[in-house]
Amino acid sequence: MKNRKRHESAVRVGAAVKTVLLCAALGAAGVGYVGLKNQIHRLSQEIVRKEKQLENLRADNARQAQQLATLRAPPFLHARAAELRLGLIPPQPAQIVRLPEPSVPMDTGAVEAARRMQLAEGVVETAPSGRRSLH
Amino acid sequence: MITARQLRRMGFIGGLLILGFAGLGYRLVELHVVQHEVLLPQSEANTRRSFLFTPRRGEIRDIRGNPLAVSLPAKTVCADPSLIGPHAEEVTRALAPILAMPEARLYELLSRRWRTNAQGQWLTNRFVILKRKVPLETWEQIRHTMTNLTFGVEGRKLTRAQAQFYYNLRTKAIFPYPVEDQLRIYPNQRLASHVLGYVGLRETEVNGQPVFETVGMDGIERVFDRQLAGVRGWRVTEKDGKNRELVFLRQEDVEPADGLNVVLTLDAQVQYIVETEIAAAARQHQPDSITCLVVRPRTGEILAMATLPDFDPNAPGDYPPDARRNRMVTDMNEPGSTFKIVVVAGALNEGAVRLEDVIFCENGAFAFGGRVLHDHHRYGNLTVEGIITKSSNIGAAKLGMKLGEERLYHYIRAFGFGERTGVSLPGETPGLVYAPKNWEKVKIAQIPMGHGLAVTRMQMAYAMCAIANGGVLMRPLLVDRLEDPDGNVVVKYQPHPVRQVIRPEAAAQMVRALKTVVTREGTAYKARLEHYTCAGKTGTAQKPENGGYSHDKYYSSFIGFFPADQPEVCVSIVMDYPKHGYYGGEVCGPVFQRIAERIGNYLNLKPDVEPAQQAEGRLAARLPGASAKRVERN
Repeated sequence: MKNRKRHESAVRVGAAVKTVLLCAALGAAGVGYVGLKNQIHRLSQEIVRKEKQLENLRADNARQAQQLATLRAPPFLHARAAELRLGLIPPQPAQIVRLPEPSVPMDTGAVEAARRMQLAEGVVETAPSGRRSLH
Repeated sequence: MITARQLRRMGFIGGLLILGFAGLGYRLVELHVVQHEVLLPQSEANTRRSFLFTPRRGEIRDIRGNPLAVSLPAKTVCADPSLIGPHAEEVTRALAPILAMPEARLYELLSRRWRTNAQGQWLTNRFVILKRKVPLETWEQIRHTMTNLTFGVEGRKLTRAQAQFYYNLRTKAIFPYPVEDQLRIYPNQRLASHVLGYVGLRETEVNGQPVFETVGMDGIERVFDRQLAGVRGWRVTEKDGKNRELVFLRQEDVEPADGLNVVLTLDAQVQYIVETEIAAAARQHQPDSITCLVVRPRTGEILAMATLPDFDPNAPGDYPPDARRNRMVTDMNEPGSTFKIVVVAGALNEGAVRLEDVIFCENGAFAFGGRVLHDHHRYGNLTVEGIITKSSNIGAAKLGMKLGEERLYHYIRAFGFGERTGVSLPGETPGLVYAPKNWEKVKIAQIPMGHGLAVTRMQMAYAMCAIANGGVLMRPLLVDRLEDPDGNVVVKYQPHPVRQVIRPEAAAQMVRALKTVVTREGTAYKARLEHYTCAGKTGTAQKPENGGYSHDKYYSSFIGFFPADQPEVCVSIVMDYPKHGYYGGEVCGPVFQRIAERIGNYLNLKPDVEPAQQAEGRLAARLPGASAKRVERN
């Protein structure tokens, strides 16, 4: 008695599964392709939106820089100070106290350290009498 | 079983199909191969779009980084009159106030015009520019206004065609030009207008597309136009049927490179001080024009340069050409007595004279070369220093004769006269200096007094700077550096010595002599400073008129520097035909004093006049008859 499974007219499960898988793969690829295209379109719109946003921000920035420049302009500042009657005037030279530049106190420790370094490099030699002299 | 009839039918249908497919195939081959060259551009024109991006014009800033000229993005507003149809009047009423345009002019632009072409077809205008350089906020306002216009119709009662017409009218009839524009703004209005210059429009064509460029027309805007302008960007992309960009099909996308920022050596505050003071002087003396230049003698840096009459670079067209001219560099005139510094410096440098040497000044009248030279007072013997102090014409003429024609000419040229200074401004004139072979006999006496040659105010100021700078002539430095938009230095301009004109010892002697000009004995006592020692020279030159010299029109000037022995700042004031007073020391000296005191204070220069001397000076000024002894006792 022949096995029915090996009968020629029996359904070939393996082939059917392969066909279904192939179709599923093709379908998935198609859906993926459409999805990717959709994503590209969406990102394109996003790029356009961001570019527009950047353009607006740059325009705002330029406008605010211009406003700042106007507010900082000497004619405007002087007019505003006069308008508000702030009584602002620059200090006169006689009102400015100038302190003399302080002389830098000699750091004996640092001098000694520098001398020791020079000694080590042979730049300074010790005189026979014990006193040091420069080359 | 298939019958013969069925076979025939199949054959017929099959034949039709083959024929149909063959026809289609042929058409495909024809379109894609045979007519490829013709159809490809048409196909691309349907989908491909190219855009130009305008770079942002660089800023002009002062040495402290304060913007003096900035750019704002702007729109060019256009209209399609064919879409406006019979509603031009309503659109005009709505837009005229926003665009700040006269209604009649706007109505004329929005109205349809008909014309016939060569084939006799009737055509209407579909593009008209309403206004350029419209700020973005104004454009948004225009768009909002157009969208909300009702035109007295109800949407529900309209036919489809009418609805489409009103939709186009509201959204497409007024539109911005595709290439961005920019608006140049000078936030300080008139401040330093002659230095900054102004911009204008130039029409060019890029890839067959008309483009309006902002170009510098004068001043720094013109000289540094290439650096300020930047480089245009572009994009080639595709659009879908609804005119939306398909970003993923962008083929070329090049960002514009914004222009460089030009950082000047000018200080806006110093410029403001100068402009307010010369405006006050102009009100007082009513001159035809007045100029002031403030320079650091050691480096040649220009801290301020002002000319009146001036203009607002935001609207240069509202002012006459005369007001837009930078007289500092474009105008030349006979300098008068300020030029005496050249002959005296030359004579000292050559060892021809010493400051103590005495010259007989002919008691005020000296006949030479068929002319009679005069002094303001009848001076007898004057030392060389006294010639500077008193500004003796005869003394200067005699020094010129002592120096000789060739050597005098050499020093005139060495001080920079007869050639352009090289300042970064357009329209500079070299002045007028003739070679000695073309001199008449009297020239050797006239030129030392500052007559018989023409110089610019800038040349004269830099000659004085050379004396203040130990005899070294510097090239004018107006631009400190160029920066990219991120603030990185691209080019740094260094001070440039032109030549050693006179020895430092001779320059020191000149400074000693020039210090006496602002003493009681000198011609510019009113130019003395309270907190600083200063040195300078006055000039009062008659204006040429009808082939001779006018007796009531003068160029008055004073050029001085301070502190005298360690000069930090040199200030030159020149007035053209002041109506109230005309002596340089009288009209320009006080202006120098006010400007110098304010600038010294602003720049925090260390005063080199002791407080005791100040008090003494003040008291002496209040009590002209008071003796020094009384002052000391007080």
